[in-house]
Amino acid sequence: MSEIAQRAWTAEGQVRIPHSAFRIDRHWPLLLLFAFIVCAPLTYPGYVQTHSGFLPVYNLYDLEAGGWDLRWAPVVGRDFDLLRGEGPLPYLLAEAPRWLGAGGVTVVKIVFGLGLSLGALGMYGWTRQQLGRRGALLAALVYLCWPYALATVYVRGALAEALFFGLFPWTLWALRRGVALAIGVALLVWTQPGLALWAALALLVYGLAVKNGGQETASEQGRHWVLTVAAVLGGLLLGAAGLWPLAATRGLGGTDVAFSKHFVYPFQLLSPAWGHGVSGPGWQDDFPLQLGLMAVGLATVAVVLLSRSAAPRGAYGRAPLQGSLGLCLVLTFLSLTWAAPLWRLPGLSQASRTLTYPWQLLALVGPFLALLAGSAVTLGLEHESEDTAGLRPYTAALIALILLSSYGYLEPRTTRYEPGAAPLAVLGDNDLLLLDAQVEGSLQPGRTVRLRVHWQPLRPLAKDYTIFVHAVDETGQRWGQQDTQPQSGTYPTSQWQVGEVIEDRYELRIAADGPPTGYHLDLGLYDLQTGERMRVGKDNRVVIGRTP
Amino acid sequence: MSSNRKSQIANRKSAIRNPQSTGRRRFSLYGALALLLCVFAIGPYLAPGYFWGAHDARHDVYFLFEYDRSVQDGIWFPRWSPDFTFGYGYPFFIIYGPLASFVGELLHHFLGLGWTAAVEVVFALSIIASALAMYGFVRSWLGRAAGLVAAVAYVYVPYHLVNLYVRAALAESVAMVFLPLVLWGARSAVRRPRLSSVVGLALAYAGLMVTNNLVTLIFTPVMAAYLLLLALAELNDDQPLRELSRQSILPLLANMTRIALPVVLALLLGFGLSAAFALPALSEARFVNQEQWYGGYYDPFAHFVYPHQLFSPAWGFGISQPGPDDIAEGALSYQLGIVPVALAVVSLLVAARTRRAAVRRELVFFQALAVALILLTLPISAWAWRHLPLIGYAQFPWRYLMLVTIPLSVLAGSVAHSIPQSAIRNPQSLLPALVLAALLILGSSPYLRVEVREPTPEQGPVSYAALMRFQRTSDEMTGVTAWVDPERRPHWSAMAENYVQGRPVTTKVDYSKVPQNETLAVHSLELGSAHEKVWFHAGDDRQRILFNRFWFPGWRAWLLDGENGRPVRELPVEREEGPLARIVVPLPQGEGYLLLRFEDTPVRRLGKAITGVSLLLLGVMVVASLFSRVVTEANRPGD
Repeated sequence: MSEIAQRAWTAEGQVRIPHSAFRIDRHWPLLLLFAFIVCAPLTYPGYVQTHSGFLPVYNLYDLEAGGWDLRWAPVVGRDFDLLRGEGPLPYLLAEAPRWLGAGGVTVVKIVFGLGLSLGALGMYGWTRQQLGRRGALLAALVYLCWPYALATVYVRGALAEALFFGLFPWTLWALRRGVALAIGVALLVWTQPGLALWAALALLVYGLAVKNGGQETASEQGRHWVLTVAAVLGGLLLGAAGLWPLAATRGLGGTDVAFSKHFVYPFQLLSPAWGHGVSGPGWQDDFPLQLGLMAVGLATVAVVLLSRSAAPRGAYGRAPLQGSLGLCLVLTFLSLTWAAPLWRLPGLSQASRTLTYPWQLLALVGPFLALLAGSAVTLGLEHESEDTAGLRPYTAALIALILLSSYGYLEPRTTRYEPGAAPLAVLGDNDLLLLDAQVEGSLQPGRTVRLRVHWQPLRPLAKDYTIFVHAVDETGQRWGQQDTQPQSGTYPTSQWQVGEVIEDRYELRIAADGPPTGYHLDLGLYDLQTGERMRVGKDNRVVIGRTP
Repeated sequence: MSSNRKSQIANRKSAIRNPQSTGRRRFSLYGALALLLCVFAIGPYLAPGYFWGAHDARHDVYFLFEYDRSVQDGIWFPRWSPDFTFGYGYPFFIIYGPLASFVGELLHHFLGLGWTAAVEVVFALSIIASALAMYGFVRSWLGRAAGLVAAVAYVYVPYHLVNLYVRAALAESVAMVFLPLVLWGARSAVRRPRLSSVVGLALAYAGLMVTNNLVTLIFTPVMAAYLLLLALAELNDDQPLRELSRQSILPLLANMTRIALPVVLALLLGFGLSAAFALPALSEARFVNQEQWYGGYYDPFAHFVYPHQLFSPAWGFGISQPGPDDIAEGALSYQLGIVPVALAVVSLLVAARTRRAAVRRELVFFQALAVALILLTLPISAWAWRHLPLIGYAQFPWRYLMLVTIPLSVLAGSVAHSIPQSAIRNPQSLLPALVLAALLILGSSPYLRVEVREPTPEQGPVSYAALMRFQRTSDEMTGVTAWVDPERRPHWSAMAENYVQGRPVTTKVDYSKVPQNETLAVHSLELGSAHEKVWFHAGDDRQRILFNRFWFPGWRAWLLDGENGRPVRELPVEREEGPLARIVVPLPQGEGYLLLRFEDTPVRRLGKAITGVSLLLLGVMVVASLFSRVVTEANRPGD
């Protein structure tokens, strides 16, 4: 190792950062500016059309309607599943801006933005000592622009996972700070319980990897390790305690998921393809599962440089990078089709109970991959001082390249539809939301009535359903009807995109010889082949316009 | 002030003013690169065909077509465009800067380029010139590498590409050449007040004015703010403002005068040079109906940019749509460009860490300018649009994105400023600038395309008939004067019908009002773009000729002493009392020849005179400068 290279690292392996007592690190506001760019699509004066549709908004309203019950869970449009489902924390956080008068759509978007911004800031804070300011800035930016994170927000609309994305780096930052670590783990549990268990495991493994080799005695190392284990376990317990009232009431719950059909094909990790479809069985997903060109590219460079690096072993030297590499490889491998046999083994088989899809493990890969990516710069420039002005254009170029590589993904589908407090109905097995229905015209004999509705599919509909609208009197007798394919047959339900808001209009005439009053409309869907109706309510129909 | 302090200031100023005092030979390399890297932006114009579908692509061609109509009559500085509004005509070049059309006309007239080719070449020239202008400006204070990056950023920043390929805004694209030139001139006039600086600023400002008066109006406050910053900094350098005392007031005033004089002189000269166009534009613009261009669809409050649009990668070729869904509706993009923005953000670090206070000051200015101009495009600035003067002239809030391209480019360039000047001769020093330039081009590469289309019958091939169809189908080039009833303005005409039917229009006399008998008989002898000569016979002095031309100040009628004779008597020209407010010429009893001609009003003549005097002054200054230089060279010791 050259003398110059050695000088770049402290005895503990930290990168030397020039200090001035009262200087604020300007990279923090810089990161916030970059975070604003990435969050810019959320400023659209409407909502993003994601797989989750308006469920985050409806669940938020449901929380408020439920009177802050400790047993509350976000189950509007979803089955209850304690481990796979969302925790309450994102919704509790969203309540803060609600108190300031913000609408449901706005606060949900704020939480999404918070997830992205917190992630970047946490990443910078966590890696700053290890990588120096320049490396940490790039690591944070890689994490911020990471395609998986952008897909979580702009394609899936997974509120809890977005917040998880924001909190996880902070937990990593707190790794050697007992109480903070425990709180961090508890927050993760309250955000996404199943994923939090995996995160706890990753924290333990990483904590073991970064033991401060050479600088501490064996007993000190042991004490640190015990402290880390205790903090993680304490955090899990704290999190579990928070969820206890819910679990005691509802148990663990459960959802039918085809976990084994959603493994990632290796090529998908490197594919630049970007789509808004849902994850499906097989390799032809229209859902992005890429790790990101810049993240993988820079991480690869880092691995090469690491072998020739002057960085010492220890807490802030090679060990975190090697630990990160190991975690990236293992977690990514577990999401691949190659790992399918492993998931059938005892232990892992039960562990699959914590995830809906195997690729959710990629959420944990993010920080470690970003750390590696940022370290490429630190390792590549370890002979240079942090403040070498001549390097600034290259740093700027890397920053621009990282942003540019994900720029095309900052184009979510949007809608100006304003959701109400709750959907009018949830049809099927949480397949379809009837957002609203407006009757135009009076329900009287001889009159033509128009019905304007908004649908939002939550899952792909396999069949081309027919929609029926019946004008029914108090006795249940039918006095008018229209049965039609959506949008006059031009947009069959099998083509509906998950999360899309679909406006449709129906028109029917009430028979002139019907009773003078007491009508309502029955609305529903059925399969024309079998006549079987999509499940909703008591009689598989939504009642609209019934006069009290 | 101690001599020591003076010496320090002198040294500092020297370093600030001339960061490139070494390595002059390198100029050609960086400058040439700035020029060469324009090739990707010019590329789309090399495709066969013409981008007829672009917003103003048809306008550009027909503006040139109209300009050429005047040139064919020997009028190289036209004011009246005869074929606007279905042949009723319009004083288009009084209110619209003619420089872009003039350059196109040079290419068409002297090089024989076709209409569309001439327009495309003007676009290409504007790209090259704007790159070189930005290079020159940024190089003058941030160095060559920064100049190169800024030049590339300026060309490839998405809104510039929108102007070039989507909006086909020819005048605005040419105006973008002058914006950095004005800033460069302003900076030089304050920091290095020499004759060349004064002349440079004057020419640049005049050029901007005769290219696009609208851009000039909205850009002038920016220039004023920059001048103020530079002047205050200069003043502070010479006489630190913190050390002011009662005794230093007079020297302060003297200093202020010394700093302000070259700038004021330059701006006066610039206005003087452009006065032939600017004075009538300012004073006679009120004689055309402007509500057509500011109401309805053009309501600025319907066209604010939404923040997400500034960072959306989407790209469209449609026109601006009200609301936040422009892109979804295929409209034009309002993005700032992710690479320029990233570099602008990094410039915060550059500004914070640079040791040169003057550079920091100017970078902070451009950062603040970028923020302020971006805010003007957003709904948050609605109050400013309602209450502050000049802002509303932009017509569409997103038009301020054109001004945003300047600070974005400067700030992008500033990132390369950190390359040590001592290393500028080292070929390796080029690498970071090239990396940044490549990244800027890469970031905009998906947008380097035009929509080449075959012209529809409403668009081309370029002819009178197509022009009339274009006016009818698009309601463009259908401006009217202030006296025309906007509700009853023409939507077609007999002249337009003749053109469409392939019949020549040989007169604009309204023959429906001419009985052609002993009471009144008229025969048109000659029709030009801005004149018509007729023979008439009037049975009494109550007869009059009605011309199918909108009345406007400057139309004059003369009685000639023969068919090819001289004007001997001026006849009154009246405005028709009707919705079209056409030209009416009362005739004297008898037979004669009448010449109706569009001439200069006193304001136009005054403008021309001021321009003439300014040109003379400019010539004298240049000659005097050259003479002085020759004398100095001759007297140099040892020669």
